[in-house]
Amino acid sequence: MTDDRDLDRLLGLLAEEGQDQPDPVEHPGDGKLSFYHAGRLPPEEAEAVREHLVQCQRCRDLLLRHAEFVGEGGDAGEGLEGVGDFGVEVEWRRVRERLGRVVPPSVADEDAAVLRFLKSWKVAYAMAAILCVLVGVSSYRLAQNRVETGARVMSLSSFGQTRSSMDEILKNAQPVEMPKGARSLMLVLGSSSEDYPKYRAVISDRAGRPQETVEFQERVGKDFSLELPRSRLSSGVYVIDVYGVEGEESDLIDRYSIDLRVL
Amino acid sequence: MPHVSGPSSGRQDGSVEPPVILSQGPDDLSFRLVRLIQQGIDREENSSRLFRLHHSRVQNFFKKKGFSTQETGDLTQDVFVRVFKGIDAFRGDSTFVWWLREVAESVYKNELRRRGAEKRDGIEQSIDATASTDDETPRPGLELVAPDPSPLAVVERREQMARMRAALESLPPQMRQCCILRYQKGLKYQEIATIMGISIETVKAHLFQARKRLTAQLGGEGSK
Repeated sequence: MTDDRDLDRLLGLLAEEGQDQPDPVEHPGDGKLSFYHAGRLPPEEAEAVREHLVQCQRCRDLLLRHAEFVGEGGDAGEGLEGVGDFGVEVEWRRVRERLGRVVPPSVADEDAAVLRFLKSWKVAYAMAAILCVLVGVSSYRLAQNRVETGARVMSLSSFGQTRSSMDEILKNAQPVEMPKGARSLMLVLGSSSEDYPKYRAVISDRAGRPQETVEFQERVGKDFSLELPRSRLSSGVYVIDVYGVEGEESDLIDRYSIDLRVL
Repeated sequence: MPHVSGPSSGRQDGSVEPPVILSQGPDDLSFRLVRLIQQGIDREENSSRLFRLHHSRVQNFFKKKGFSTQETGDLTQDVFVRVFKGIDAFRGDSTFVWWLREVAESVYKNELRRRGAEKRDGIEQSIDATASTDDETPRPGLELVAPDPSPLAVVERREQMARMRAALESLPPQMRQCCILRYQKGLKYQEIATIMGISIETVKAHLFQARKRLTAQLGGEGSK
């Protein structure tokens, strides 16, 4: 019986033989490769493509490149750290701006009549009245402390690179409210600092004790975006230090403070 | 699953492929969103959904090429601007993600051209790399051959190769394909799994079984 070394030697000969093998002349075509990768070819066709891939380096390389793009092999390409939906929303808005919203072509006669009606003063008065009622109802509901849901978004300005004393920073903490029922607090931290490969936000209480640390890589333009779940926060004054991280080094680049009220 | 005949889409010079059976079934969300956008149905909302589905993927593509955060964001936007401008022309000759990748690669190449760079360093793996020291490295099997083998050695080698090929042919198809990809083409387990459309565990199992069978079948090839 052949032992392992003999088999390896023979497999080595196989490798030598395969080194100069040219690719097949005909190829399945990119479309078919894409369906093969997606698992959408009938079994016989899939098998034919597979056999081709075993022999064809060009098609193998293409498929592997595509698989890497799709995010296979443990590289799923998750969303941006620390930014989540908020950052994606901003990116989408930028794409839309670049695409440009097409101005509707000149309206048909029927549409023009509708427009003329809407512009009439009677309609304007009626809409103003409806608006007043709506505002009144909304104010009443807010005054009654009705539950809100979702994230509350707050923008904060930076104290820069901490030239202010801690007393001043704490004294000028920006009031922030977390309404009843809000799931989390989304803070948009205004910044003009330079870019780093990674960032770390350390949230400390007024005594300087770190409460939370968040690491992220992305910025929304020059600003930072931080989402803090309700469950991790209680009322109080907090200092948020943002560090730029490069390798083992980290630089304090921005500082913020909030006076948080969790309702 | 409904099938629709599609146009041929062979890309090689002179090669014509038979019509591709398109089976973009109802679970292909991207394809459905594209169709809805093309039909003008909730175009804004569906475009937004399509963007969110694939945004990270495109970003990671540029990140891996070594672009900065700002450049990655800009190039990602470039890709999606091109995608949405040309989306009405997408015919479904390939999957949407395949087309998206082609657009991303095109944007990448344009950027390189713009910068006048031949090639940008990125985290790219060559399947020819042999410097790896992990378990993925194919086991070395090359044997130094004498510069001028004797005629007898040449004949022996030819016979051994013929037996090896016959032994390989006797393996079940998937097992044989895994063997060729691993031992002849030098691919890693994950790459084989991707090419074959099977799990890494299955690849390893195939190779394990293949070695056992080949060892048994080629009995007597050794030390002569």
